[in-house]
Amino acid sequence: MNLAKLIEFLRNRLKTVIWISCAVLALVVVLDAIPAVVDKEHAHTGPEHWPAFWAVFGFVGCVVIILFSKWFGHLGIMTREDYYEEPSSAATADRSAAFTPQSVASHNALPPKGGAPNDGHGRATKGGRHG
Amino acid sequence: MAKLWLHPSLILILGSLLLLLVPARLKRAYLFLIPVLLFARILTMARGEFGQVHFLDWTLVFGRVDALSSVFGYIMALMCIIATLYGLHVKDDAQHIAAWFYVAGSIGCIYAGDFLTLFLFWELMAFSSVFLIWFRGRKESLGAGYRYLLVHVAGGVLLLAGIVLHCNAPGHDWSFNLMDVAHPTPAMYLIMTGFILNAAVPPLHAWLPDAYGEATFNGSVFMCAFTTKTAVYALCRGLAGMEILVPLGVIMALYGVVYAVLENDCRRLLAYHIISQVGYMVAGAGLGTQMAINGACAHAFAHILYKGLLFMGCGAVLHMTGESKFTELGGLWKKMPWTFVFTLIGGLSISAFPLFSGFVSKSMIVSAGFEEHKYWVGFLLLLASSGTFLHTGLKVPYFIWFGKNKPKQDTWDRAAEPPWNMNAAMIIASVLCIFIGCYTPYLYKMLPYPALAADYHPYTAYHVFETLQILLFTGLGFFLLLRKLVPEPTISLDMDWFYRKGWRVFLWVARKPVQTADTFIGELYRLAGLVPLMVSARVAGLFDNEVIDGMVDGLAESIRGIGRRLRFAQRGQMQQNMAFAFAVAAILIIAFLLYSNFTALAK
Repeated sequence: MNLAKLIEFLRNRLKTVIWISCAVLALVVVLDAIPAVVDKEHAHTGPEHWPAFWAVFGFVGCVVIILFSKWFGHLGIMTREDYYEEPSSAATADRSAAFTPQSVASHNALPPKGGAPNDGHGRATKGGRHG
Repeated sequence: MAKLWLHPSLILILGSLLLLLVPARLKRAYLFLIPVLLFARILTMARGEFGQVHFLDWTLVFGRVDALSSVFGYIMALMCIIATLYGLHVKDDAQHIAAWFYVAGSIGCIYAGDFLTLFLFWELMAFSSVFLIWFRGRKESLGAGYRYLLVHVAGGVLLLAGIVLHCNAPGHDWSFNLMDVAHPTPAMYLIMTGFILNAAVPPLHAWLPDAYGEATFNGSVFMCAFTTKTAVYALCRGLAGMEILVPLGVIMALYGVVYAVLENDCRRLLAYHIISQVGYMVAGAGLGTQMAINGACAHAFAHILYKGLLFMGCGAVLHMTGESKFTELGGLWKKMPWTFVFTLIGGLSISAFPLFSGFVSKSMIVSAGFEEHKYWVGFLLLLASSGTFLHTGLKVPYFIWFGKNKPKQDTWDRAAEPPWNMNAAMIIASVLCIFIGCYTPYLYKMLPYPALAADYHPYTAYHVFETLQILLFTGLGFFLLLRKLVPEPTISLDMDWFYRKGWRVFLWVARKPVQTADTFIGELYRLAGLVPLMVSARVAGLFDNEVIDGMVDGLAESIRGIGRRLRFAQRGQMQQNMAFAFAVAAILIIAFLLYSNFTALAK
């Protein structure tokens, strides 16, 4: 349970958490740009030497993935959930229709006295009469 | 060799048959014991070739134990322990039997030294794992299981065709070794197609999310570990260095990421990320350098654990709440906080966060790409890892455990931490994910080229900061674009459309011209309805309506009726027939294995 409390503690201080996260982001970029901390000698390509290259790469990559995927999905790839289901829902409709006359009959046999009786009420009274 | 060589798969096959005889109170202990025995057997296996059987003209090799097969055998046995523990409370023996047969098939493939043995176990895998889908018991799982089976049978046929062509070519025998990838033959392409179908390389991948999203809560934990990784092993063994695998792997890595954005079902999302992650391994196998093969094996090792962990986390949510769709979940941190932490550890591992397992394995493949001066491979794989963190590290935990969506009251009431055994399995997997990430020699010593792996240091300042920047700024993008990512209650059309809906297009094409022609003729009769022609037109119309239409409609109707009845009759019986055929196959395999043991003993 303590874990849930910890999460709640952090959620109640969401603004502080966000500020700390932003500070961490900035710190990572700054540290990366200091040659004494991060030795870029083994980088394979030129752009990797630019400061904040991987930060921009990560951010732009993420945005591109989201926007491209959503655009692609809305071309018609995303569709309704029952797309693959075979159209055979007539059976349930029939069954519910078959019940209607019965309930009407029970209503006719027992005229309601004060307030509309629900199904359960009607059935209970009907059962009592038969017994 | 004068001593008995016990095939590890035999432990599982015999163990699962004996499971039926074990009394109920000992069942849990027994379920735990058998995978542990399997693991112990694999740990104590000496290197070399064992279990050779002469069958007709062939020499079957059931046990080739070398560096490459050992690392895969080790992790698969370990995963078998974890996944069985996870489903320990499942009362249905058949589910455990199916799962163990499936693992036995997978381990049989790993240790197979020739193509025929490989094929035998390859099919055992497909035919046993399909039961893990069917046991879910939903109407959808029945269909998904059949599709899974049909696709795998088709893949198996291609593989077999390739094997027969390849092995009968002059200068070749049936042993399963590295093929001449510099000069690919049509037979090799057929074998490759069989392999990459199991590795779920687009466009042959749609079976994976279809099946893994529909399997039982613990069945998916097994499935996510074995089929694709066996295929990765087969690629590393037989087709390492095959050029075409590199672009295919990179496409896979990105394809899975794109579909994961659209997905609303958490287990289907994870399934798309299997495709993405296996893409790294396929690319690694395609690069084929020692570094890349090391990377593919290390990543398969790490992947089996963290993907198992992720499927266990989402499986726990499904098991407890009955829901796996993001639109039906949300805010579960109050009810299932520990499941959240385990899933998050899986998410951080798959995203290759420093100190987690993915970091020390994925980077090997990316580095191998850069070192081969295939920069596009390196950059695109890094882009895919940004997408991986986006979904598995952020989207899955956020929309299940946080998010603005409120689940239905009964979903909320059902939500609670899962039983102890599921938690225990998740704890073991989590600890291993962190251990691998922190203590690299554990994994690196097991790799096929341990000397090279010992020289590889993932924890350089540059690599750590590169990864941190990519991942943390992906996180920033996620929270800024959160509104775009809110799940929608939809499904995404994929390549399975062609075999799920394609037949309707075929029917439409067949029906439409017939109908058009029919209407056209009818119209012609009406327009040409001059007085002298009226009678004949009426007769012709009558003929058209009563006889031709009647025949066509009647025929169509009766065929449809027969088809409908046959289909229902088939479904029940076919599963029984399959279970029967499957049992016969199992007995044959046992006979073979025992025979191989005894012949080894006789020598």
